[in-house]
Amino acid sequence: MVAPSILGLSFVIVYPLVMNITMSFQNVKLTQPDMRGWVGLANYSHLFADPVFRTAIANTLIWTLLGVVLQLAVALPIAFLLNAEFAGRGFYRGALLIPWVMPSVVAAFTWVWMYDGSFGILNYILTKLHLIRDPVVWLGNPNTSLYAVLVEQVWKGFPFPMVMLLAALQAVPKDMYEAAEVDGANKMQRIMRITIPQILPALALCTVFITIWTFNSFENIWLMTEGGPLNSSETMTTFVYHNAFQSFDLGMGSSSAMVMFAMLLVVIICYARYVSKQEER
Amino acid sequence: MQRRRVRKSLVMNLVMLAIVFVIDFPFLWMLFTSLKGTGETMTIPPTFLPAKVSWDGFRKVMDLNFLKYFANSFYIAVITTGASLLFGIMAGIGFSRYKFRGSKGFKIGILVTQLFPLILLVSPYYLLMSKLGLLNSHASLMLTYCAFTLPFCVWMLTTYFATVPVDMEESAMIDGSTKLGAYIRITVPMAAPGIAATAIFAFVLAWNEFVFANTFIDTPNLRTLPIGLRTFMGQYSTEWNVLMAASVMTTLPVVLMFIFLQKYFIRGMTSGSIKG
Repeated sequence: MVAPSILGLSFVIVYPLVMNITMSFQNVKLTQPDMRGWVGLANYSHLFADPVFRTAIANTLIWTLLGVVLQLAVALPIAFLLNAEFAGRGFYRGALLIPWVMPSVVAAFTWVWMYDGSFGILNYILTKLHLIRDPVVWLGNPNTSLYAVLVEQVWKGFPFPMVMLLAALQAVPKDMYEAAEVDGANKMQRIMRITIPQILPALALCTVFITIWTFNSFENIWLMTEGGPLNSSETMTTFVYHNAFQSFDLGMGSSSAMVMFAMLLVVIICYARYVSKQEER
Repeated sequence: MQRRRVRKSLVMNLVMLAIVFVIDFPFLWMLFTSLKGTGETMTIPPTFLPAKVSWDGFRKVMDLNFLKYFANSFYIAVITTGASLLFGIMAGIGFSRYKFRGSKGFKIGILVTQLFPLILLVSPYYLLMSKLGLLNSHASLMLTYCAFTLPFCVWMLTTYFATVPVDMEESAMIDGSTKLGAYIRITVPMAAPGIAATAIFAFVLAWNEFVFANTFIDTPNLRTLPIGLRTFMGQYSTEWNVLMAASVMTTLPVVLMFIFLQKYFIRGMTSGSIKG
């Protein structure tokens, strides 16, 4: 009965991992299928000599760090607002999940349209507000492309921490606040001493999730800029895909994927430890 | 007191309406663009609401093989959902009713799949599918999607089946039902909310998936919707009302599901499964 899902599991983790490790030490070019063979560390030395790969690592770090901070910065205040009691909040919660619900391809294209250099609504709004003087080609400018895509990422990703934090806020026992009020704690003290410590575990958990998801994001970057222009929005994921399916060099693709995986492993191990501790309780 | 509450409610509603407008603006923009004529998408300054509602975008989409892409995606998503549910229910009952060695390790493994970078899977699967001769076929996508959905479906269903008391199955069996009959008539219906959440998860995953569909499929007639949408994006100029009309129709099934099954959607989301 359980066999199919164990099979599925090894298909999703074990097999790809083993394949990536082996291919990263091999010459695997889809254009020259007969040339396949072991090449030792050649792929890795190519990789680290490649300035584009260094750009990709730097971009990935900026992307992940900024992305996580911004997602939380949007999610947390909204979660607090939704936790207040007022008529109609169910509707607002649903309406704020729309970005999460929209298919990622649709979301990416809608943002491409809003960012459009000639007829995009964003340029129009920003010039009206006098924030910019002339229209900016947001996705076509090496200085702005990464951040323009990041805005889409934050917009699409914030509902997850929002819902998680809202659930945590609602789970804080009401009598704790009442007891604190009786003891003379003011509003600020109640937030700092009760709310924050109570939602901290949920905050930690969803930070782990969005860190990894943001680190792994590929589709939106690929659909909006393909890592360009001039590699300005190239992250590790787009670098892997470029190598594997535009240069058809699966060896290079795999070695860069392995570097990416090594960086992720640290977070994944911490998370797995945390989960197994929770299970023991 | 009463008046204060009303005023608070009013203020909160105004604040929330402003936030919702900003956050949902891209969604509205997609909707309104799809209802504009091609000319109106290229005016300066741009109009917010369509000055004149035009169905040109939707009409053109229909001429662009859209229905074929839609049907392909629907077919793949339905098969993926069905297979994930069938195997997921079998394994879920197994896990919740019998103790296994290593079931804890399995659970952690399942959680890790949710965090595993998708991009690591593309090359190995590409080679695997080419070895199996499945490249450029819908089967390659169904297999891939099931591999993703299954571990999580099992995990989610196991937790639901665990809440169904074993006594109920036993009393059904005393009344003459077989073990399988008891599972089908008692256990499965009792876990209906979990099954709904799982089904949504599988359907949405298959419906939205881009990377594998983009890599495995070559033939235009076999394309799924996300890939089809991309072909509507022109090399030099894009008819945005057409692309947005296609986008609206791609979003529709998911949004409808969301409206009617919001509870299950959120349940799937908080368990970390339905990724945006």
